[in-house]
Amino acid sequence: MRMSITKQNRKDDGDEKRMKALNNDKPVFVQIIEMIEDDILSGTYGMDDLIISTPQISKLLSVNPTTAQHAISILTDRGIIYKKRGVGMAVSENSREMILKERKDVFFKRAVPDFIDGAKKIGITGDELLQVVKENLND
Amino acid sequence: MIELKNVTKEYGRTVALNDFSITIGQPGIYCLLGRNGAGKTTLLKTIAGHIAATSGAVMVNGKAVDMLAMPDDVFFVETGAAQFNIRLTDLFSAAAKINPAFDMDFAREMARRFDLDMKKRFKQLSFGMKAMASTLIALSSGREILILDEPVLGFDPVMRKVFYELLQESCAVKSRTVIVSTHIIDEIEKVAEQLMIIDKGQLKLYCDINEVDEKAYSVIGSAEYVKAATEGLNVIGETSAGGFLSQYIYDKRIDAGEGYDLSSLNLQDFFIAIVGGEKEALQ
Repeated sequence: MRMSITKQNRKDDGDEKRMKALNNDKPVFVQIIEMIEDDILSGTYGMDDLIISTPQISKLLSVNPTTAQHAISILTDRGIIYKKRGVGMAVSENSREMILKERKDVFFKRAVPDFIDGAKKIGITGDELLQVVKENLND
Repeated sequence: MIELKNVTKEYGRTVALNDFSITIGQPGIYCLLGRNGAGKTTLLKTIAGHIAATSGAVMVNGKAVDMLAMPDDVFFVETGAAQFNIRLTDLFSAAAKINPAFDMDFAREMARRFDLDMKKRFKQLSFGMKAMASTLIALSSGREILILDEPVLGFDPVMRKVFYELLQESCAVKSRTVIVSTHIIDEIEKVAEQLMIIDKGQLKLYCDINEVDEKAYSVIGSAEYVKAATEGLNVIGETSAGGFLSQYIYDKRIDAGEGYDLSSLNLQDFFIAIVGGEKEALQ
C-alpha cells in the first residue's frame, strides 16, 4: 500500500509533491478523487473523519482551487463524503463499500478482459493462464 | 454583470474586435488569453469605457458603457499605467480620498508583503514595482469589477506568486469579478476559474477552467491506431513524426487502448492548439 498523500504530508509545500503525486494520464480532478478514495480504502480516513480541505488540496498539489472543489463535489454527489456543518467534509458510513464496489466493477469490466487479451496475443493458452494465476496467488 | 453584444471595433482598416459577444455574470477570476494582437487590450478597454466600440452594445450592470459614461463599478489597470509622481503613501491616501470604498488596511498590508517602499515616489520605482503599486490600488479599490491587463508583466517569479495569492485573497474577502489577461499561462491556470480565449478579434472559447482539465488531452501512437481511436471526436490539432501521430482532443475522454497512449493537455498546450494550430478548432 502506498503512502497517503492527502493526510501525511499536509504541511509540505506544493510543487515537488505534485510531481510525485499527479501524473499526466488522467484529468487532475479524477486523480484527486482517486487519492481520497485510496485513503479511505487504506483506512487512513475512517468513518466520520474529516478529510483534507479544498484549500489544502490546492496548496499541497499545487492545483487550481476550483479543480479541487470539483473533485470534492463529485465525491459528495456520490455520497462518499458528506458535509459536517461548520467543520468540513467527512467520510460517509458506507463509503468503503461504495468505493470497493466501483473499483471491482472496473476491475472485472476492464482490467480482466485486457489481461486476457494481452495473454492471448502472445500465445498463452487458457490452461497456462490459469496456472500462472494460481501460482501467483500462492506466493 | 458585463454584456457585450455584437461589438465591433475598427482601427482604420484593422478589425480589433469582430462581432464580439460575451456575457460575464458570475463573480470570480476570469483569465483572458490570446496572442499578441488578438484583441485582448481592445476588449478590456471597451469594457472599461476607455475606448468606444465602432458598433454594438456594451453594458455593465445594466448600464450602457461608452467614453462619456465610464462605468463606476469598473477599475481598469492598463500595462504600464501612469500615476501621479508622489510618494506611495500619499498616492494611497489620495486614492482613499477620491474613493471612500478604498480599503487602506488591505493596501498597507499588501504593500508590506510586497516590500513596496511607501516613501518612494512613483517614478523612482522599478517597472515591476510600478505595476505592483497600480495593481494594489486596483485590488484595494472595493470596485466590483477589476480589469487587469497583463498585471504580472515585469514581475519576478516571487512577486508573481504573491500576486496570485493576493488576487485569490481579495476575491475571497469580497465577491467580485476580476478579468486578468496574461501570457504566463501555466501560472494563471492554477488560479483562474473561468477561461476566455480570444483570437483574431473573436471569442474562440469561453468555459469553466475545469472543462479543460476534463476534456483536453492528447492521443499519441502510430497514426492508424490514433486515427481509429479519435474518430468522431473533436480534434483541435495534431503533430506527426515518422509513422507516429499526436492528436489534440477537446471532447469526452476515451480509454487507453492498443497502439496509443493518452496524456492530459495543460492549458498552455491547449491554448497553442486552439490558436496556433493549423486545423480549425472547436465549434
